Amino acid sequence: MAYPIHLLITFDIFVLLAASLDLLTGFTGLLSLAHAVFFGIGAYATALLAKTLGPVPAALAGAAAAALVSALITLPAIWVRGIYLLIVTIAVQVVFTVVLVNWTELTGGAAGIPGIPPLSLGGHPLRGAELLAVLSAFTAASIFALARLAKSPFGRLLQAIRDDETGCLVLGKNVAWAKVSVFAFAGGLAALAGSFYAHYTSYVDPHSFDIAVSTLILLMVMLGGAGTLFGPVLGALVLTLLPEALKFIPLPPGTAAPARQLLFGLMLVVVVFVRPQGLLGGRLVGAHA
Amino acid sequence: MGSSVLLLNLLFDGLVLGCIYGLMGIGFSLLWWISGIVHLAHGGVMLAGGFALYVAFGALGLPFVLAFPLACVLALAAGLALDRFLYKPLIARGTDEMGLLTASLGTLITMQYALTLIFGPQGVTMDADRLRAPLVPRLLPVFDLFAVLAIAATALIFVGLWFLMARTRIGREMRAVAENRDLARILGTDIRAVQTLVGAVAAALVMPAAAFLLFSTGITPPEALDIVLIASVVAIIGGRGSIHGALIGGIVIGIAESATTWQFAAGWRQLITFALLYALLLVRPQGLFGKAAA
Repeated sequence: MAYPIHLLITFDIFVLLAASLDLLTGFTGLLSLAHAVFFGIGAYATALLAKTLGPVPAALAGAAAAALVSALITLPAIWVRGIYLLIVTIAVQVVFTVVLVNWTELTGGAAGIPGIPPLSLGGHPLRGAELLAVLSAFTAASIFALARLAKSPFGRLLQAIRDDETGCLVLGKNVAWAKVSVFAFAGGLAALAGSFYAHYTSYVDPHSFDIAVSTLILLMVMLGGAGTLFGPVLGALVLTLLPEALKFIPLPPGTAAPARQLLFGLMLVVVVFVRPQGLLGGRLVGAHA
Repeated sequence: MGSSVLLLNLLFDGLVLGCIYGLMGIGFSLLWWISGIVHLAHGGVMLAGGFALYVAFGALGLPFVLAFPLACVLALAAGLALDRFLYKPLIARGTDEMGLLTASLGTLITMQYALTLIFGPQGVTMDADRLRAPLVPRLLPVFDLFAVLAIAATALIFVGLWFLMARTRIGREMRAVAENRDLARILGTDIRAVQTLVGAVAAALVMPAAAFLLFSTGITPPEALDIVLIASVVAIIGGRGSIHGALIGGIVIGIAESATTWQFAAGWRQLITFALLYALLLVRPQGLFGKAAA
């Protein structure tokens, strides 16, 4: 049973990441390649603080730190979007990896931090199926909350910003505040996914939170359908299973990882050409804005 | 060696590095400014050009004067193929900005990992031996042929581009397309032809930077995104439509990065690039020399 449980835990974590990125990219039209940064902030916060503070305060501290960093990223992007925001997020992602690798005293450098205790509730450590149950409940609750949020007045404002930002400003909506808060919220949620990840693997290193991970999360959103919420869930499912399926293809040693990245890159291009709205997308998001 | 002498050397190294950064960014800037295409795959074309030069000059042993034009032709072909088969069809079907960025990013990743599969993740580098011998003994900062070549090539290319844009008919058409595409079309400019030409110029312009990289830090696939990051920061710092702005942007980053290594480990270099980008977007999003967006 260990293998299916491992796959389902991985899937749950990717669902949290893809759904929170969809809030930014799909619903608000803000393209980001820094989602692995918030994921990593949560994971490192748990790695550093869970032993002394306990798992829940450590996860909340990580979520707060990620929300703060996320909001700071938005500051220069309040009045610019599209390419400027994408470049800022790429830069943040690059800098995050630099910090993880070079700030050895805090992060353990390239070797990372081992020995993270498992998530425990009331002194009882959760492993395997128990962790999966708690994580799945949290993931389902998050998706439910995001679906409610999308239909709320705030969610409608986000979609209106995506479709016609100037129009929102003319109507007197506080666009800047909406962008900062949606970035902070999405960053905080991704950080919580990172806390689960750290407890589960008991080990964090810079490699798990680099640009390739950010790209993979973006691909989940684009493949499934940006702005559909359930599309990214499907994207997370496909892209959790695909690498497992690829393991059956015999490749020369050392080529499996780059071949997988090559495939992900090609998929990003093919989705834009063949089905720009994604698998579950009904209409073209922002095509006729 | 005294600390201030070291700093002087680092500043000079930064100037040379900045020239290479300017060369890395200028093609990207032109495409962004004139054609409105954010060419993230620029980094992939630069890697491909660098590897082509390595294969022709380093592996096959062709003379440099033959190998360099060959690599140029390959980079040109790659750039034109992307223009013809990626950007043109997507723009024709009304793909939005997010779709274009996604497709361009996907192309960059595809090229990066295709090259990783062929050449390995550690990439290739060539020894600049003779080019690195100090020209004048005991003179500080250390002054070698590599630095002279980098500065001279950069000066030549940027003056040439300035002349092209400011003094020739095709340059006027390029500026017209950049300023007001609809008006340029009404006045009879062939927009597609101008954009294709800009794509060709941008593709050919990767080669000088790729050559200098090959003979210094090397051509390494994992740096594809760093190349694009530097190119876009150069474009943003310089500002829309400013050729000398792109050069100054490159030199500012180069000197800032180099000076960082005076006090900090080399790994922290990229932090200063990001700090510059962040500060500039906060206070002057149109760049140092750009006009405010209409």
